[in-house]
Amino acid sequence: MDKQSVIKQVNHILIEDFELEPNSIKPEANLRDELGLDSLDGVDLVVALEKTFQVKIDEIEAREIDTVEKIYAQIIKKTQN
Amino acid sequence: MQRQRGTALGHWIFYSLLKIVGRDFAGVLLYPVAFYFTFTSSAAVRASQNYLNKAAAFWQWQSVPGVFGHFLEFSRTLLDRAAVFMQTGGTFTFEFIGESYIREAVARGKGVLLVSAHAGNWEIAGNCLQKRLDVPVQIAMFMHGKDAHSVHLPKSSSGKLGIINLSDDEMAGVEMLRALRRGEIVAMHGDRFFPKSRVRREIFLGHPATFPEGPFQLAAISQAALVVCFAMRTGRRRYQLVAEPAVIKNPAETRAGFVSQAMTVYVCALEKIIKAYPMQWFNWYDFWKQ
Repeated sequence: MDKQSVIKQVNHILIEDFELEPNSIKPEANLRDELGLDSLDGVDLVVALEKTFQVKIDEIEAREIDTVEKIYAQIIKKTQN
Repeated sequence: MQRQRGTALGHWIFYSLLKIVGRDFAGVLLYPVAFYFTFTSSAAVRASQNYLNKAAAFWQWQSVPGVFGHFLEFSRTLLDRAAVFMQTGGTFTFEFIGESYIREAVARGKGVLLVSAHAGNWEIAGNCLQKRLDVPVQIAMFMHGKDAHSVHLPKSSSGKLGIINLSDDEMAGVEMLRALRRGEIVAMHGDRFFPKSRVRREIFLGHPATFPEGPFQLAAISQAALVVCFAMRTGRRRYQLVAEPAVIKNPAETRAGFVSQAMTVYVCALEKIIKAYPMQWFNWYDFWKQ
């Protein structure tokens, strides 16, 4: 899956499932501090990403995801494997 | 969050003493300890009086012996917990009510979220269940940096009992989700929460009180069966494990609807159990003022 397609789908999840403003979704935005996602949102996000991209994200990988950019990177890495 | 009293040294002395003198003699030493806390721990005493008044309609004249009894019961459960995990306490007897609900929930293969409370001795329940059901049990709990009391548990226990540390980071929920998807049991409390957690007000013992939505949201997200379960002390080395029928999210049900229903089931079950065992609910702060 190409990078632009991943970005588009991840942003769609963040906007639709978490009701975030499209202009708040910047690669460097911190999920917790800037986008206001809590721990339950973290679980929801992992479930949504796994369902959308048909990948599995384990606890260690999930812990590394703290910005929007890291979501893109994790999904690109997963879908290219 | 409520902070624990006591130091690592204090906990070390507690566990060492238990190992040397055994559960029964250590039990005698609890009386002066409970007496000490009754007259020195003013915030906990006020919280206990307030709670006992709501749960057991204790009046002022009953409150000092009531609070002493409350502290004594708490220290007994701590001692039993340590004795079970350290295997120094002799034989404990467990009676199960509703165990079939847990067995049926495990058999679904989608994980079981056991929601308990700071009531009775839930760690003993987890330890006992993983042996009886032959399924891994993950206990989700707050382990503070120097919480020697909690640190003793995983070290002293063996088998399929794990700890998920909720203090670690925001992603402990993912760890719980993974355990549930492996078909394991995740045991956690439903009567305490982090600041900024999602919460809901429920009528509890006749007054509005705040409860966390987290465990119930997690059950909805994971599709795991949610079973409300308590392990109450019924006598010397005797415990009763009480489980309620599983609550499972129907695919057609909204998440908000499920969470609301499951929280009502939980609060009703909690009220029922602490009315039966009023001295065994251990939240040492004004629960209704959170």
